Amino acid sequence: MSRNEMTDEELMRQYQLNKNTKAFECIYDRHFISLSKYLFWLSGKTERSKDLAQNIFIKVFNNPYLFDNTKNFKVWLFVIAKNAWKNEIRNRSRRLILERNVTLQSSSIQESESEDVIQQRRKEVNSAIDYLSENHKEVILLKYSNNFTIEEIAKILNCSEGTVKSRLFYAIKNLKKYTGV
Amino acid sequence: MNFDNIPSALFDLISEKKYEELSKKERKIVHSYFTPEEYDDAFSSLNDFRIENSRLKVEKPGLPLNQKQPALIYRIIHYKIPVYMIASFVMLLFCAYFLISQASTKEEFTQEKGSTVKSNEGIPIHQENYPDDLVFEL
Repeated sequence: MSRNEMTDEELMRQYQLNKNTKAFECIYDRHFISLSKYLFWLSGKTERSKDLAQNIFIKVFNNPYLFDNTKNFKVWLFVIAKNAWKNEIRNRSRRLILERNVTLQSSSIQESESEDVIQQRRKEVNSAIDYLSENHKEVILLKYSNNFTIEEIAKILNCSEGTVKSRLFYAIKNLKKYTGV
Repeated sequence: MNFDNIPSALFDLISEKKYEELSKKERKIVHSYFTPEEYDDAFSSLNDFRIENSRLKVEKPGLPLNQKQPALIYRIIHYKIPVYMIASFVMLLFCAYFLISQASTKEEFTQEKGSTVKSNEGIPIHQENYPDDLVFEL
């Protein structure tokens, strides 16, 4: 079986037992972007989210035995990311929305739509995400940016599935309110 | 509202299909929680979010693989032993103990056919060690 066909848990097992760095690189390739994006939406800064994501992977790289192979690796990774983000916001004040807009403009790509329309939509989405409470933001990001199931989100956030559904329900309603649709 | 009863499928539907694309069964689920307008608004918001999320460009830096490797002692401490291994090890110990005790019993005693069991080693009682009660002076 090639590495690409292996599950995250199998790859981690290989790395834990044989220090197989190729297996770890495969995990890194699979999850770095999604983890960075998750942290970007939470933090609002591309560079900071990349640094945070890389630090998380370095931690996992140095301490692979902290992962229990009977658990879901991606869920575990996002639990670490959530905790890293909580530590981050504990240590500093929240960034300005303006910073996020500047960063996004610099990372924009050319699309067939006119630049004005893209910018307008981007502003609306960013504002909407920013206006959500931390709890609502987290569930929206985990569900619709990373495609976790309700059960997995409950594990990541350490709460019941009913709580996740409730947060999602109100987050969706609020998202609509702030995007001004 | 009891949120435990909301079907998880609702949260998938709302990001995947417009109201007009829903089947009758799906519309029935949706109607319990959203009006058609609310549903379409939510779909539109989530769709915008997804588009923005996919547009985000993140460059993947190389993974610094020269970080310190976990120490051997750390690996040993954190090595998780599966239950079946522990069970088989206990069984192995039990079997080994049983076999060794059998073997030592065989060494100690032999039994010839039609005779009583004899110990291979005689009882080391020498003349000078005879118990006093058994010594008769004639």
